[in-house]
Amino acid sequence: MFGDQANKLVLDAHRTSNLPEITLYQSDLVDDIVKETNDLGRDVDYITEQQRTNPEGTSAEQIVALECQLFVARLSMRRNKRCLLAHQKLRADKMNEFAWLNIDPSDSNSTPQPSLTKTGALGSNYTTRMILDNLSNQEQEYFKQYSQLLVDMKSKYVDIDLSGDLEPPTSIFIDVRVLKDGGEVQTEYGVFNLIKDSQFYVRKSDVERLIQQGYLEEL
Amino acid sequence: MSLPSNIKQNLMPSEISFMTENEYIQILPRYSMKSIQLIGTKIPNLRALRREKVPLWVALILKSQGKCNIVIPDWLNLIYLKARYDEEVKFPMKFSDLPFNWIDLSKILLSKAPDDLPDPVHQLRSIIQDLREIRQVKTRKGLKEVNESNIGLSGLSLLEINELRPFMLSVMNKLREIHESVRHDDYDDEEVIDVDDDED
Repeated sequence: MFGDQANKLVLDAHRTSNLPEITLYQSDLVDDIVKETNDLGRDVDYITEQQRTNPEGTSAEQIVALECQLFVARLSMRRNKRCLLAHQKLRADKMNEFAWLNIDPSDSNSTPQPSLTKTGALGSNYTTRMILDNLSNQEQEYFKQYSQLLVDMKSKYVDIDLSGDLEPPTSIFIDVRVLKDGGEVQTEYGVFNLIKDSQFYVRKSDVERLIQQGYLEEL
Repeated sequence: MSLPSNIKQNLMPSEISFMTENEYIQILPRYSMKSIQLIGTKIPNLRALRREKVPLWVALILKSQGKCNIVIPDWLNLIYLKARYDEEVKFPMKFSDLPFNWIDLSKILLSKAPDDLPDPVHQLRSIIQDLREIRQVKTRKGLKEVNESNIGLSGLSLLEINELRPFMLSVMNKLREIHESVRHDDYDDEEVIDVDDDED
C-alpha cells in the first residue's frame, strides 16, 4: 500500500533517535518514497485532466469515484511528505546537537575514537559521534553551514564560550589524567606535553576544550 | 540543538546544588580580610571571630583553606529534624516546613564542613535519610490524586520537585489531552439536549 515505505523510514528514524550517533542516510528508501509520491502526483494530474476534458460524459457516480480517488491520492502524498520531513528533522536536530558539541566529525575510514562516547550527566542518547560519510550531500552542506552560523554567533560573544561544558563549575583547579597521546598541546595559558597516563593539576578553564575532545579525563 | 534534549525540561542535580551555592550563609572567619567587590556580590570586611554573611560558595572556598568556620543554620540539628520527622508521621496529608533547599544544603554541609556540625554526622545523616524516605512515601501516595488541572506541592523542596517533574508533566499533559476531548463531547451533548428542549 501507499505509505508503507514511509512507515519503514519512520521506524528507522525512531531507532536512530536513541542512538548516540547518526546512522547511514537511507537514500534508496527515500528515493522509493519520492518515486511513489511522483506516481501519485501523476495520478492526480490524470484524474484532474479527465474531469476537465469530459465533464458531461461521466455519470454522477463516476464523478464521486474520481473525487474519492483524488482525495485518497492527496492524503497518501501528504503522509509521505510528513514522514520524510519527520525523518529529516530528526537528523537535522542530531546534526545541530553535534555541531554544538565542539568535536570534529570523523571519516568512516579513520579509526573510531571510543573516548568520544561521553557519558555521565549528559546521558547516553546525546549525539557524540558523527561520521561525515553517513550524511547525504545536502546534509553535509547543511552541517557545514550550520557550523558556520555557530562560529558567527560565537564570534559575537567572544568573552563567553557558548559551546562549553554545561556542567556548572565546582572548583577552579582540577586533576586531569591524559587518556591518549596528543603530543605538545598549546593552550592559551601555556604548553602541555600530553603523554598517556600522566596526570596534571591545572586550571579547569584551560583544559575544558581538551576534555571535550577526549584527550583528558577529569578526576 | 544547543541544549541536549534530556536537560531541556529539567534541572540536573549539579545545577540545583549550583543554585544552592548562591544562597547566603553566616561564617565565622578566623583571619581578617579586606572586602572584595565581585561582579555579582560583595564580600564584606572579614574580621576574625566576627560573624558575616557571605555566599555559600565563598564560604566553601574559605572553609577548604581553613580560613573560616561555617555557622550551621538553625534547622540542621538533631532536635529540630526529629521534631520535623514526628510532624511528618503525625500529619500524613501534609509536608512539614523545611527550607526549599534542605537536601542539597545539608548534603553540602555534611560533606564539606563536618567539623562545624553540632551533632554527630552519622546521626544527622540517618535522620535526613529518614525524612527523605517518609516524604517520598507521601509523594508516592499523592500520585494517586493526580488530575488534569492542578496539583498541590506545598512544602516540597526543589530537589524533590525536580525528580518528580518529568513524570508529572507527561502524565498530567496526557490526562489534560484526554479530558479536553471528553469535555468537548459533553458540550455537544448539552447542545443537542437544549435543541430537543426547545422543540418540546
